[in-house]
Amino acid sequence: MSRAVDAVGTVKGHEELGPGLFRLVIEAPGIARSARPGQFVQMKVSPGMDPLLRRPMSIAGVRGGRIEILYEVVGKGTRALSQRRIGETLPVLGPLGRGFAFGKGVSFSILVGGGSGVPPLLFLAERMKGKGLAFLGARTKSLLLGEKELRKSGWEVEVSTDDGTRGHRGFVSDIFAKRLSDFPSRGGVYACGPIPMIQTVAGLCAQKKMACQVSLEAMMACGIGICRGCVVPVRAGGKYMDICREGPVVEANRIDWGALSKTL
Amino acid sequence: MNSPDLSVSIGNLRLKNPVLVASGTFGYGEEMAGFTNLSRLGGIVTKTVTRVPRSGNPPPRTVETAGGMLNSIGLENVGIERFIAEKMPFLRRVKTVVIVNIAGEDPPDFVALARRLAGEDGIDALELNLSCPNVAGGMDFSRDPELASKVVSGVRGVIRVPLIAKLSPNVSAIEPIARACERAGADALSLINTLVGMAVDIRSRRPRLGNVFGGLSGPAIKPVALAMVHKAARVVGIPVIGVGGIMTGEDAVEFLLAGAAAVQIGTANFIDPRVGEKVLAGLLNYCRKEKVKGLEELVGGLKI
Repeated sequence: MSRAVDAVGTVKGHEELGPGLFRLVIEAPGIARSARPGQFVQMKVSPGMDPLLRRPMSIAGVRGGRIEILYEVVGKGTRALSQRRIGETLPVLGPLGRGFAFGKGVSFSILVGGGSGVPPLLFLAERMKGKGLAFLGARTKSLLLGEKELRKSGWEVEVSTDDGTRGHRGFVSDIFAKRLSDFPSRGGVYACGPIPMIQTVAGLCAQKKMACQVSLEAMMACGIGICRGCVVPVRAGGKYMDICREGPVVEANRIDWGALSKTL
Repeated sequence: MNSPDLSVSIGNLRLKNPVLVASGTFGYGEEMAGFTNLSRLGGIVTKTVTRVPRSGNPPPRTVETAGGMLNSIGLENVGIERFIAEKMPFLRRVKTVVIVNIAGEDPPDFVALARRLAGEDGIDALELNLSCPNVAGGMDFSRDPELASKVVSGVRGVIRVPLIAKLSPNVSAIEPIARACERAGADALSLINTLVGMAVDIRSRRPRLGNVFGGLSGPAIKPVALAMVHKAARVVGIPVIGVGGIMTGEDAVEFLLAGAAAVQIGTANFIDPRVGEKVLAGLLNYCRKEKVKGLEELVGGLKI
């Protein structure tokens, strides 16, 4: 695993892509150098004590010594982050956690991303040698991430929006399910998004006996395995695993989905 | 200019400085070694260990609140045997004081834990977690002076290292419990543990913690901690270790003035893994500026 560093990152770019949807570029060479798709950083989004804790953000890409974060304003932390300006610095700890395992034993890659789950998949697609099929979902067209980038780099892309403003009207797990019979059994699925969505995807993959890795998220305090806060129920090898160290990416069949859905 | 003397004694234990890290916020030290220089700290208090492994409470286990956070981890830990086999080898090499925090289900359980640790090298002191709010019955020990002293005197009988009793703020009066622990043979007290709290999600109309209740920590509880440290320090002769919302060297000075001989940093470790070193630097800075030569000039120096 790559070693995490506690860096002071400098904001090099920050733009609003859609209503409440931002791209943040941070200079943090120590993190950028070793970051792998699926890993995340813990950012202190503003100085002072409000918000108090750092916020976990998945890495959406790396350009030289810079990391890219794509996020939607959903609460106090992301609102504070959205006010950071170019040139400002902020504490960034990372890269953290276990990323996606890819490149071995998989003949065909399938990405399934919903909402804020899309960014880590964009980083993954960038680092994958072959191209495959990507399912991208969002609540509405203006919040949809990654479609253009993935098409441009040669991926086949299918899109869904909850309100039907772009692509299929409905959930990304629906369009994934419709194409299920097309997938080769040695295909590998990489999913990130809301728990009900990835639970559905994981269930379909289990039926088809396809390898499926999911990236999970949870309320997190430390991000480095100290606080034991960000746990999810697992089926074996203990009752819980922490998302920050054993995850955020995990083989879908390790999760006790029934127990996890009860915690939502 | 000469560096101020920041060393402090807890029982027969000498700490190089009064800045410790609190149980449950620093793992077993090893996890933090890559981020901060452990040898700069006055000491490390390890995450609570119990006789049998515990998997902890159902998630969600943490939620941020105004100026603080709630946690309901539920003493998740690997149990005493794996602690000794897997965590102690690193802790023996650490160049600072190692204080092992233990929690039992009843007084005999505490005694059994202490007995198991008595033969282990590398343990400089024990902290008795009399006050975890997140396990059934876990708080009763420090709510009841009699029960608290039973635990302390029982453990005192089986182990020689200094004993620190960690007390709960969720009591109507701290003084009787502080005195009871002193009489039973505690070498120091640490307070406060977290305050019982909860948070509600108005959309789902459900509690935000899987366990419904949790323990509040962080800067929000500092005034409560200061008051309790001050009250306890007035009625006991043993050192009091102040815990609760310390983020800076100035915060640490407040606790020392209120009567604490040392401090523990908790929640701040989650935000900044180097905060211990920074609190120490801030404390040194204050001492230099105020021409303080030794900590005894500060401890309990509150002017009333």
